[in-house]
Amino acid sequence: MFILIVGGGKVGSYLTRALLQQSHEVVVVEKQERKAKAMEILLETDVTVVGDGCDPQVLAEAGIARADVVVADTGDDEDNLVVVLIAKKQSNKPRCIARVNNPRNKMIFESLDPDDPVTVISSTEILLHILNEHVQAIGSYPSAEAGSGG
Amino acid sequence: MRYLIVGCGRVGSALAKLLDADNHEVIVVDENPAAFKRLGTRFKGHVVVGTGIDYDVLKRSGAERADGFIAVTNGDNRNVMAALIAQRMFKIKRIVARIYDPPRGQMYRELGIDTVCPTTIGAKLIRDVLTEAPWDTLQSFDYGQVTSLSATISNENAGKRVADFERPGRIRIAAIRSGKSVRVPANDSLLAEGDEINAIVAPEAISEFATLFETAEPVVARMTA
Repeated sequence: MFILIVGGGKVGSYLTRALLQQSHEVVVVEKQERKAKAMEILLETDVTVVGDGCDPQVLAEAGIARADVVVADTGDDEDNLVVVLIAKKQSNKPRCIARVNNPRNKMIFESLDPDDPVTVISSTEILLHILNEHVQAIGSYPSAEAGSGG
Repeated sequence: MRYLIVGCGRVGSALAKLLDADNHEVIVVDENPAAFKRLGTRFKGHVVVGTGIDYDVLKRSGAERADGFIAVTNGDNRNVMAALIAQRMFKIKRIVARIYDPPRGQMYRELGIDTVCPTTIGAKLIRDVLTEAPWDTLQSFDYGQVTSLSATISNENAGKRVADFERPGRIRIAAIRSGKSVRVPANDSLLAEGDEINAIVAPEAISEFATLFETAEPVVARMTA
């Protein structure tokens, strides 16, 4: 599979390494030269395109028109949204996966294409979910009980 | 009307003051509290500190009851995201986003968001000033698809009718100003010397429009209707 990743931060770097080990074709678009360089050192290969991943021209050069999957993995929800908007305009209809910080923003991504919904990952939401499960498992907080007793 | 403006930069603050002066209810959202200084002391509207791409901030700002939403932060991406939140989560009817990049502005319009592209409009206005064009680029719907131009009727063109200047599919005269009155013309409306016309012109007909009104004085004033 050809996977296009926008955002070459830590998540993008480790994701790319794992995908390359699985013999997928990967291209990463990263705005900052410094981060692109760090990634090249980590991966011992150069798979990055340096440029603004929210620019349709840059994504075209990175090969979005033949991507099977597009991963919007920058640290900013608004940038990931624009990546998805551009990906959804492509005739090859790549599968879209996006990272969001603000769980409330999930709905915006999901509303873009109801027929082929964007997969949205919010680590904030996952953490919250795990915390809630933990709270349920232990009943209530000891401190709360102490509070009601006093 | 209640207007919600995201971004209190030069454009956001100037727009807020204009709408406030017209007695609209205006709420301005900006992450930086210092930005609100631009609103001056006479501004009667409300300000909210926060990011415009957050549902809770917009809700607190009264987005549920807003008639219009304007996204004018520094970032194109933030503007389109704020606009989509306004459209899909708050169902605001009138939404305008400033987008500097013309191709992306076009893309967002297909999502039902009106975009204003200062890049295109600015370039056209500067071109008109440079070439001393006998028209005034009042307003360009983005990317040169349709342009609204105005020109003044010269002595040679006086006595002609609106139909003499209209070209189906290319040039339509939308309004005539005679002195202080502005009217929507009929086909047989007579034009008098000094009348100012406002036309909707297709991009391929701009030079034809220029030829038709060649003898007109360069127009500086804007038409209000």
